[in-house]
Amino acid sequence: MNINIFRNEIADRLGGTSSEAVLTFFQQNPEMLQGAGEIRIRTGLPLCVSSKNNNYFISVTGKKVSAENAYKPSKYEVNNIFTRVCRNSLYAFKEDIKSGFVTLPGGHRVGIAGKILPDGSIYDVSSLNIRISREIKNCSLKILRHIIRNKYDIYNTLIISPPVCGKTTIIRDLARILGTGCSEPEFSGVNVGLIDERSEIAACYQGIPTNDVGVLTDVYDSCPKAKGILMMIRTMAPKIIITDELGGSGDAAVITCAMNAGVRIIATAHGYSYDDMSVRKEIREMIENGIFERYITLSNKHGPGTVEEIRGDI
Amino acid sequence: MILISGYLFGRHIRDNMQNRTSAISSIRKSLEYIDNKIIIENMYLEDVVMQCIEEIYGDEKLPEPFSDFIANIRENNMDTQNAWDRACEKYYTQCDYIKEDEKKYISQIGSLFTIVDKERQSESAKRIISGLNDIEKQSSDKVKKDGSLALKISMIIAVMLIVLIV
Repeated sequence: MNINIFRNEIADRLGGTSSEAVLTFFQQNPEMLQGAGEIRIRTGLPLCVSSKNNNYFISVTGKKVSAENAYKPSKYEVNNIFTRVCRNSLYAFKEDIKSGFVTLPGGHRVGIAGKILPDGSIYDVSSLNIRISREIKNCSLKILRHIIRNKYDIYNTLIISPPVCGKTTIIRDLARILGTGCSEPEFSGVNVGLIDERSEIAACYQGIPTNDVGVLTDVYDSCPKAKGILMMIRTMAPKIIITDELGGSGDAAVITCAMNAGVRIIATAHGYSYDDMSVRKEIREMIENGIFERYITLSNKHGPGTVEEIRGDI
Repeated sequence: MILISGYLFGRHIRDNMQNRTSAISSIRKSLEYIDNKIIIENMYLEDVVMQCIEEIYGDEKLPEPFSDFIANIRENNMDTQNAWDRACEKYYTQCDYIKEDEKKYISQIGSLFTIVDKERQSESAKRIISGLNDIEKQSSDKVKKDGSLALKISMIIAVMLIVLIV
């Protein structure tokens, strides 16, 4: 990501002193922008940027300072940023707000914390966490040959990783390659169905993907996984379905249903290792039923997307 | 000369009355437009307000608060309530014929945009629309009744002045 993209997709959208301070910080430290993962804006607390596994507190002038000297946004500013993130149209983001996040164009996810009302919506927003999304083309090449079965087929694959280790970036790139085709390893592009529950993978804006997810890829944006997978099978006849963050109740049943329909699956799950998966009921069920043929574990050891382990009949 | 002045003065009074009706009518129509677009198409506020300015005020030269409202949000980084309040302040100085009770309704529009629930927002919008509608009817009746009367009285006063001078 370069500074202009950061300005257009994030800073201009957030507005306010915090975003100006972070923009100045990245202008003065471009290497920090390359490794930036999150920007934390909390009411009355130091403005914080996490980059390359470290937290940096930012002053009002965009300098790296101690927590005491860092800029501390007011409640008014945090609320103002929140409404700007929602394009001053809170009604249009009601369901997103209930889910605790709003996605910006470009796929950057803004997590929201505050007072939770009985209907699930968030009121009196106190903290925002802006997760910077990156489209890194060819980042999945290191695992691709383990996923591809032959020129027209792939193995059902589960990508396991803790948060901020690049699993969304990798499956976005997998969608692009499998939905377009590639020469090394050789794979003929096939119809891919992408269930993008959190609008992070394709980063759809008004229904159209803003990220490159492949020329043969259809996207269900903001669609619950279980519903989306069944709809996709019935209506779009995909050869591969790609989805993020398995583990909810009912996921095992719907994945089995997709398998029975002859569709291949690439999915991700939160966890630190393959062994972690066995304690999660839904995923354990899928493992026991032999749904997945490949398990790929990612970490942040050498930066996001570090391949820790690949399991399966390799 | 006196006759023409009398006529112009009478017309000025009548035009002021008519402007007031048109201003309230335009605000009411705008709010209806915005409410419908949000309820049916779930459009973003800035987009729907821009469309509204084009649809409702496109050909007319009437002053309106919506352009300043959007400018305050986009350029001055204000929240919706503040942006509307500021836009109204400027609007009221341009339209000195807007009365206090009408200002009360128009100012309430700003608080609509801070509501998260679309249905609740629409209910509140409809209450404001209904209030503006009542004022518009009263104003329109007044124009019919008092507008022509003002013109006639001005002309009569002008004629009387001429008679007196002659």
